[in-house]
Amino acid sequence: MSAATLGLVIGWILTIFIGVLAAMILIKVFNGDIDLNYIISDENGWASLSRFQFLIFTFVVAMSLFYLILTGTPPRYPEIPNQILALLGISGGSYVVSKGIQTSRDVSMTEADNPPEVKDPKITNTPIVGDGGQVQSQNPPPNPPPVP
Amino acid sequence: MNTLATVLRWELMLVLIVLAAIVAYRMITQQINVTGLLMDKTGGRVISPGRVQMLMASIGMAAYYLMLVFESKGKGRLPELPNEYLAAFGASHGIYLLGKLYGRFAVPLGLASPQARERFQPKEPETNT
Repeated sequence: MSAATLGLVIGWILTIFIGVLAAMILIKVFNGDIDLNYIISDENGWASLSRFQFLIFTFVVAMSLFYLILTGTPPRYPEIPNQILALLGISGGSYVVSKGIQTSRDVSMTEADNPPEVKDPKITNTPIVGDGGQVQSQNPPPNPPPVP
Repeated sequence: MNTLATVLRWELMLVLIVLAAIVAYRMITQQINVTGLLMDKTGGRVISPGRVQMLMASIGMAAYYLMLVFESKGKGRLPELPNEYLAAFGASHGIYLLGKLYGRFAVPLGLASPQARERFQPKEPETNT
């Protein structure tokens, strides 16, 4: 078997494998085994606009890329101009910043709802140095060992 | 080898289209949660203008870019976006994020609506008297 034939066979095996894998994923998504219900929701269950626009631009750029690969003569990977990278950067950056603000707000609300309890000061064995340079302990000294 | 490359390209394109169609269908039929997509979660208003403008800008920009892609068929290069459009898109996202930041810091700065202030009011700690 020549190297070209071997490459072709491996290529077909990979193509079929990717096709079957993609079909299985799509079937599971369609049947609801892969749950997309909260694909654009935040941790509180509300739909998030930043996630939604990120999803839109991911699909748009991916589809554009494949469309240009398909229609190119000869087919080749298209060049990506800086403007598109900036577009994706704005979209992704907006999502990240929005998530940061949301998390910060959630932490603040949780702290407001659950104020820290006032506890008695913890007694430790850390020595405290007094005014005269004497070392004092917060704990009472242990009982002396019994004298034989 | 040509057949193999063509099959692989169409296969991946088909997967993307079917996935996008499933997501779009589920959003339209509300099987994907879209509750509160345009709602202001901090200020007590029902619809947030900042969110509406960002949604419109995102959908408009996506549609415009797809149109540019269909026009540049066979050029072997993703079409460039005019800088003005990119700046407008960035400004739209900036407005949305500033609105969100305002919602975050409005209560500590004393600028929030009474409803929002009530939500952030800390609970009284229980005391054993």
